[in-house]
Amino acid sequence: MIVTGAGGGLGRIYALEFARRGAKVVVNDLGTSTSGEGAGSSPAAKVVEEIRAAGGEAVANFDSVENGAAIVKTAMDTWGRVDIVINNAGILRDVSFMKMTDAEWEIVNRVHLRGSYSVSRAAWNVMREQKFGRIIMTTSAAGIYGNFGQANYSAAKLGIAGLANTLAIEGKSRNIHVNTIAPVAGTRMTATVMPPDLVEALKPEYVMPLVVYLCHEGTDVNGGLFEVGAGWVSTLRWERTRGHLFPIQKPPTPEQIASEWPHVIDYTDSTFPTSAQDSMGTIMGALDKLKASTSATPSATSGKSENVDPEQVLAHRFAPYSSSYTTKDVALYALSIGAAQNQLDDQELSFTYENHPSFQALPTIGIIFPFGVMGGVMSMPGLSFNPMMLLHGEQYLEIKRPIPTSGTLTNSGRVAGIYDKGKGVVLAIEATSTDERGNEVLFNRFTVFIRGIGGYGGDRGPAPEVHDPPARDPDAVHIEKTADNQALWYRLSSGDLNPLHADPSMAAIGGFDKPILHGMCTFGYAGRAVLKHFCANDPSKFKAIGVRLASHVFPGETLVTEMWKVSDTKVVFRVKVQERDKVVISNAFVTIAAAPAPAAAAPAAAAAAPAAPAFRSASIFAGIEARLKDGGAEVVKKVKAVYEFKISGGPGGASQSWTVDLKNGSGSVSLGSPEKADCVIKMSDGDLVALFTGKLNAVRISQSITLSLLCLTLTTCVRTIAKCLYGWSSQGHGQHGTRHEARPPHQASLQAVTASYDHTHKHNPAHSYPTRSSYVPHHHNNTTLL
Amino acid sequence: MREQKFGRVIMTTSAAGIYGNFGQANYSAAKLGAAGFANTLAIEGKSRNIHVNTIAPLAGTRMTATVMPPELVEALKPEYIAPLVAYLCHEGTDVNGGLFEVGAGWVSTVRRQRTRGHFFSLQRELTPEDIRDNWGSITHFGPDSTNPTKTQDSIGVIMANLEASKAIPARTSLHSLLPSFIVNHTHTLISLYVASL
Repeated sequence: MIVTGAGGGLGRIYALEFARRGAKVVVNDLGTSTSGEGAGSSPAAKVVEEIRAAGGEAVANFDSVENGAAIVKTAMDTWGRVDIVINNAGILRDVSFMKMTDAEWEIVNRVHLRGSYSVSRAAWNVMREQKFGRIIMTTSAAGIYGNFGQANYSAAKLGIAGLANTLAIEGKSRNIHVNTIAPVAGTRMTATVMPPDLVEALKPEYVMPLVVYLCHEGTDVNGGLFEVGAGWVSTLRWERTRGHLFPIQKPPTPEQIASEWPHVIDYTDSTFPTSAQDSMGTIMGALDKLKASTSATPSATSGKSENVDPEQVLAHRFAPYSSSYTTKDVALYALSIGAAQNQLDDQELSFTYENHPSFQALPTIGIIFPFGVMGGVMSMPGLSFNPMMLLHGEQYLEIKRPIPTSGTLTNSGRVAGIYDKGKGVVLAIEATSTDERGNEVLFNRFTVFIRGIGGYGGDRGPAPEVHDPPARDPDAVHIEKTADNQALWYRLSSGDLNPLHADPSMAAIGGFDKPILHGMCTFGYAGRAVLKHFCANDPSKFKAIGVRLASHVFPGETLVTEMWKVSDTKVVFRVKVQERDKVVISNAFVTIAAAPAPAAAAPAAAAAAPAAPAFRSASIFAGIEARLKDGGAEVVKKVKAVYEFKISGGPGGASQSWTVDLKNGSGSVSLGSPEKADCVIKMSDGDLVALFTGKLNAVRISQSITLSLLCLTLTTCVRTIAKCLYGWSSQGHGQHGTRHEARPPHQASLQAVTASYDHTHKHNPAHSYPTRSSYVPHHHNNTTLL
Repeated sequence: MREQKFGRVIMTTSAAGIYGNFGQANYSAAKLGAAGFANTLAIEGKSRNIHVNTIAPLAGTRMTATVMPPELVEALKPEYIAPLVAYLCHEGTDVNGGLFEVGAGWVSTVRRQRTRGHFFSLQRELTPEDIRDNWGSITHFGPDSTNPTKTQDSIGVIMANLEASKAIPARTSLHSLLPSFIVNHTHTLISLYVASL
């Protein structure tokens, strides 16, 4: 292997560690002497001596990195291979651009960019023939973000990152991996620009482990960019706005760009592109639009445009059509929106098993029958647009009669309105579905947004109805992970075969990294959540549902439905994607049948719930306790400690203690102090909840946490902590967890809480312990835990 | 420009530089180098009203014609790039240090997103095996990911880790382990809690 600039700093530490692990190292550094190894006066020779003294193999090389061929030749002559190249050599010539000379620009670019090129180029074909190679490029935060006085350096350093981007692609098929690090380390170079105490803490020893890891033959990381230093390691990616698509008939003016600027820079629906082709995909979408619109009829009348003729649109009638369906369609629909993950749950089974005594259709299936009307929008006279520009914006569904579990419905649609929103057009389509006897079963209103064809001077339409959640914590929260192939199920059950949900290349054209979930599938999940928590899974109590589809969901993401009962007959809700903390359904509500007076249930609830307002953290401990019931012994084996949590700042400023015993038996959780705690953690009620729910970074609040270790010998303590940290921290990464939280509405008894269950999270070894069904009791005074 | 106290500079980079592209190692290095150059000039020029922005155009030119289908080249006219450049160069525009992808009627902007990453103990030797064992935490783009915009943002994160080390008096070497104990070990308890749900 080759380490450039290995005479000191980072390079020396790399060389020493790789040699210690058995690598044969070419220690490259210009140094002061070219007389060969053992000269003693050159840094490279000293490092070689150090390595040999420790029993390792190394050879010094004193060539400039601009002469990469000579450096590679040293490796080939000595060992006949080059497996790893670490481009580390660098110099600084910091000066403001105002005063920068050509020489200062040239030397920095030559050593960094040309040097990284030269050594990598010389080693490249050797690696290709070997079918193995690991290359580390060294960039800098100064390049990534810019830094005053380092114009030369930031250009060279980001150039190196650009080189790595392409080499990672070209090398991949031959197992040549190219990764880039931006180290923050205290070396001679950086000492000139940082305070000394920071430099002291930023030892190269904290950068080296990442480099060794990335160079391992078992590591498949390629094309990554990492910031690393002082015990911190993170990675970077690009985030791109959806941006603005201007009509393609003629180029936009700079003034139009100015007026659309907020959309250009709006990161609301951002994507994370990883290849140049991702950019092309977005452009292809624009091109399709070009093709669609060039065939449109031109028109000069005001209040309409070549793409939109409101009068013609409003006059349009969709031909009625029938949907026949069987119990199989009803069952498949239920499965496709996540029902009956737990087959043993009788209520869930009633949605999917046609022989169940109360087999019933989930109410949200009501949108799939008239969905075909939406297909008619594509070919509607008076409206010309690219289908990729069509977004399903809002959905309202009213269930007028129980939905039969099989039969034929006749769907009639009409355009209820067309509105000019400037950026695009809003089209409202209403559809009624009637059964064989002519009774109205369903009423649907589809509201679609078509981007790019607005601004024709038409009616802007009425202000939208507002269904905002109240300012308090939700009354119920339902958390459910969608399956990685959820969209493939939903397309088959719903008949919405849009390739955007299945075909990665179509998704790319739509500007997405991968196929997205149908908005109506998310809608189904939310409908199920409300049905479960506020209608006791009885569809006859579920009267209507309205939502705004705020953003897309990727299959596999976790949906968090927060629900507020705002009146006897109305539940307001919203849905977030847990992983991205993004609202995907907003302005949403369900109309439910008014509940009968809660006569029988109330006493049970009162008995189960604490009389006084409870500590918010109580539910955390209940959760830990529930988890310990299954596999607690395993946890105890690993942790072997008794924790005492001293919680302050509870209701009315009260305090209480909890004992989490992860030392004895299969572990236990109890209210009160233990006889003997190994570790005492003092923190406030709110902080604890925030910490455990991932809302708070422990670093930020470490000053408000007091932590003390008692009663154990120092050795035991260290061992315990080491086990926790290094045996466990690799497993514990709480926020990734999937959960399904059942919480009873205020009126219901605790017995009404149905079994909740985890979905196995296949990707994450963090959850190697078994998942299972468990009851999570929540006290009466519900609080948000999310 | 410094003397005029006014200037607008446009750098031209490419998606090939930003994301990499097969067969364009030379081009992607040079192009992302230009973007890195712009990053610093944007900072240095700001006080004198010199704004430096970078565009990554998708346009059909002689250069790109060799690697794109003719139909695409035809549609990617330079006329769709120029308006953004004009806008960015206007004296009334205060956009500085931006990176924009533009072409065929589409204008968007790009920034970096960074994981929260993993914080290792500063009092203990860090090994490649530690890196391997915490790879998920290093690379997970969770809700705590950030969008850093300057070099100091990176230093800031590291300073937080250093400060955390100082937050608890280091009476013994054991106590000095505690900050990362809090950070990492609470994950253990959190995962217990989460797994219970």
